[in-house]
Amino acid sequence: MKQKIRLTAQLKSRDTTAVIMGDMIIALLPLCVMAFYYYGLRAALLMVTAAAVSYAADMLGYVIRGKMPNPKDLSSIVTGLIVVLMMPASVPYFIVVLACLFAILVLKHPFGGLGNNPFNPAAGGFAFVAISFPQSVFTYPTPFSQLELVGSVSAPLVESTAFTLKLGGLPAHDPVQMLLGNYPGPMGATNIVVILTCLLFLLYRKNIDWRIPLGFVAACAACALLFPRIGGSPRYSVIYELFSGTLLFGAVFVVTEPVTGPKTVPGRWAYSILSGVVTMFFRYYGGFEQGLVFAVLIMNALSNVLDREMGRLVAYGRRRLHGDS
Amino acid sequence: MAIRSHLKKSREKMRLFEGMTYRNPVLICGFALAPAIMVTTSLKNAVAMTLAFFVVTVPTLVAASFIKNSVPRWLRSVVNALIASVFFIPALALVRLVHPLGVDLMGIYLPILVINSVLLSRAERFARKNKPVRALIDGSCYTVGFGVVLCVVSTIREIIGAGSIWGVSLNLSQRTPAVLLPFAGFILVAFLAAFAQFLNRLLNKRIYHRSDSSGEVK
Amino acid sequence: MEFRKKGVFLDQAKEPALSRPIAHYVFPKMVYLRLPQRAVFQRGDQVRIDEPAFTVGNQAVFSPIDAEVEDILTPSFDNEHTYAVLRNTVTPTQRQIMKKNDEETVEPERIIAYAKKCSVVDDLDGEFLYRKLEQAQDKRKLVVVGNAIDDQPMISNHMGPLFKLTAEAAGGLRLAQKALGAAEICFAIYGEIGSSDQRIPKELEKIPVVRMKGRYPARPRLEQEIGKKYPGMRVVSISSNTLIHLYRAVVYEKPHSSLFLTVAGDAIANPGNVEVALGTPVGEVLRFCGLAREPHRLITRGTMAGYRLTDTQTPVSFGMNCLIADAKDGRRTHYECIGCGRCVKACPAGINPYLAYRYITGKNQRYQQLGLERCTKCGLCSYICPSNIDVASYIQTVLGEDLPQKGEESV
Repeated sequence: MKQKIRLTAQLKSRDTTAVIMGDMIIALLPLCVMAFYYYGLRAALLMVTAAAVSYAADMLGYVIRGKMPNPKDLSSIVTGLIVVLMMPASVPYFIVVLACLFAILVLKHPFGGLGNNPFNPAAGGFAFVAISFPQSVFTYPTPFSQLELVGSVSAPLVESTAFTLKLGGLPAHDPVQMLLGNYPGPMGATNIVVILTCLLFLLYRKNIDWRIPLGFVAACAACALLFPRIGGSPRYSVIYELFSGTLLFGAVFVVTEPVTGPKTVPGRWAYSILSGVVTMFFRYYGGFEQGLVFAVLIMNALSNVLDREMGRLVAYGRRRLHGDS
Repeated sequence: MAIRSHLKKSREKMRLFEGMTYRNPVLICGFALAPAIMVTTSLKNAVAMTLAFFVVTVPTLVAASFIKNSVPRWLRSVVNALIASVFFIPALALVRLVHPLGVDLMGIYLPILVINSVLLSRAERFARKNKPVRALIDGSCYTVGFGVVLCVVSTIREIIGAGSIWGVSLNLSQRTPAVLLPFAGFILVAFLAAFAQFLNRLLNKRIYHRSDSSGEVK
Repeated sequence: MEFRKKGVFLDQAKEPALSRPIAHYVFPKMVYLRLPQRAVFQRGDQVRIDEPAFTVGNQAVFSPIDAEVEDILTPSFDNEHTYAVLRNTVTPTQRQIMKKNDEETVEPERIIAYAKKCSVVDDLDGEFLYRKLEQAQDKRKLVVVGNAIDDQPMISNHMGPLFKLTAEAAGGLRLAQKALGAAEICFAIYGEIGSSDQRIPKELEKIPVVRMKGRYPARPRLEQEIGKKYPGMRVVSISSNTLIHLYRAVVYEKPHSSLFLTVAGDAIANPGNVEVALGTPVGEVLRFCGLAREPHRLITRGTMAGYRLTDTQTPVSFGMNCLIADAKDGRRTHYECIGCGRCVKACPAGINPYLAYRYITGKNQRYQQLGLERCTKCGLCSYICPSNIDVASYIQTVLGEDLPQKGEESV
């Protein structure tokens, strides 16, 4: 009686990968709705474009690689939505298409497809268009202004609060308004309250590890507290630093990506804290007003190293503390 | 078909021209990637680099073919590099003639041609054991392969990045200066290399009925 | 080792099998008996019940039934060994079981001798009990634990007999105590049985019951828990079913030729714990319990770390603790590994199944540095994977684990 088929053990129904991706889409939907509320139909069209282009590129990628496309694989839609929610509502369509194509066809499939990409595709796609077209990607329309559905936008575009901080000034927006998202900024990244709700939802569904957003935000807040850019008032510095740009959005959706981050607990702590510090570095001394995507790309390269070395460090520390077990 | 059997028979002859055809130094062998990526921001740069490559590599290969085995193994690469650095002087003069600003634009990557991998590799493997005429043809084919890749990459990058060809502006509406950064060069060369290997595999299957999945690098 | 915080809470779902009385199916129509290399039988030979059929390396192998050797063949379920097909010749009658020895007065050496004579095997680790008892003799103080931990869902093949045949189990444990001269004895039960009507008592026949709490897997934590209750003593753990067989071996001189199994699943009409003769084909056991629906999936050797059976002629052997028959096939679509790290979080032994899976499928030799020998074979990495990847099987392949055929070692 030799073993026929190996382990079975599937007694209770659990989350499958399709469910995980579905949960992420559900978590992104409130942000999409808020973007539609503030910026009108153009925002909705941009999001639909991003999702459709990502999905098509993903299927194309499978075909190019010679594999059967899996129509249930929704991970590319998640990537596309994250990319577009970090952009302003006035961004031209071709930039969104370019970002999604770059994310899927350059950062995901050449490395082996889902589960094998070393770099976060959403972060990479956004970074690519951010350094290629900084004027289009870093200027934002005010909410409730009329935006054309297609073509370029004629409404006045302003710089974001992150830019103001970079110049050393105090942003003119009331923090309470910033919580609700009623200020110019990236489409999905302005509504702080909604982002926090999505964070709680994802934590409840155990899709993301609570250590990563906590470490990341704590590190950013610590940097903002200790080295404020707004002179003289640390409390406002922390608030504005955390609320401006894509920082909180990235903390929930970009830094927590399971494929590219470390897998062990000590590695995750190190990754999140270092990401926060590097993000703040990029904000203070970098060429652009936001540093999150670049910091995430750098830390992705280090996640495997962090897993290994932090594991060793923790084991060494335990041996020193508890004696030889 | 007649052409297939003809190609099969003349496979030995085809090997002489391998640098031009199925064994492109940049895309298949991965030689000389630094010049191929860093300086290909404009077509002028690429052409100047190719000319310098030719003037440095081919005479050195011929010289190595004359020297044959007189130099002990541990000294061979050093001697080849020294000979190449001698031939770098006319190369530099040629570049100054064709593209005077290029010497500064290309920075360190022009002198690095002295120790480029095509030179050191072909001198050791081919030129040492063959007659000078064959070494000359071999070096020229590798230069042609190198030059083709450089020109293609630089044309693409210049059109997309600066909206011009050979310095002549094309008045394009959209320009992406980010393509001129090195990361885009890496990505572009990577995709071209994948395409070249795909072509190689296709040729292998169609002409030689072989289905080995490894590349053609021998 | 910090086992307590790792692992997963599982829905144990042990009812209705746990509360039902034990059924006995010890007279099947036919059994398979694995034969050694040399020829011991011919067609037409008769074997008597509970008499040695042949000896393998000083150990007697018993036949569970009165039978005639109908055939000697290499069967479909195991094409590496020869088996004898024994056809039951006698209609099962209730044999009069006579007490041959008194458990109060028997001497310790005789206990071990009876264990050896009746080939009593510990079904948790496959060793002969007499060997275990001989090796456990120690100068230090001993505590003998009757291991009745059933931490896998739906399985209660230790707890059920322990609660229903308590006298035999307690008697067996006292005999083991006498044989080893142990200072303390106790039973160990995994207490997280969820919403079951079964109450776990503090004592069984005046023997204390250690109730293990916490997450699955609980078995690797046994020594730690007992060490907390009885500090400074060496722990000897014997399966509670083995203690029942030890009692029978000493008192009735009955050889160990049957197993306790949990038969459950939604295709079974009467789920419960069954005592089954060794070598009974699995299909016979299922028919005995009644099939309410056509089973499409048959699992044995554990619900978390077990195997699928496809041949219903497979005989029952040591190591099988359950037969779970389900109406649905239960195969799921495989996705690719998304690197979520749930397996890393769930592993109680502290190894990194994600890295092991990546190295093994990438044919990278670095998996040898991961310390995979610490694997407790709990199957949690496969259970928790959202992409339905069978991670544990990759690790087991690398560790070279074969299906154990213990209790019939030198065949």
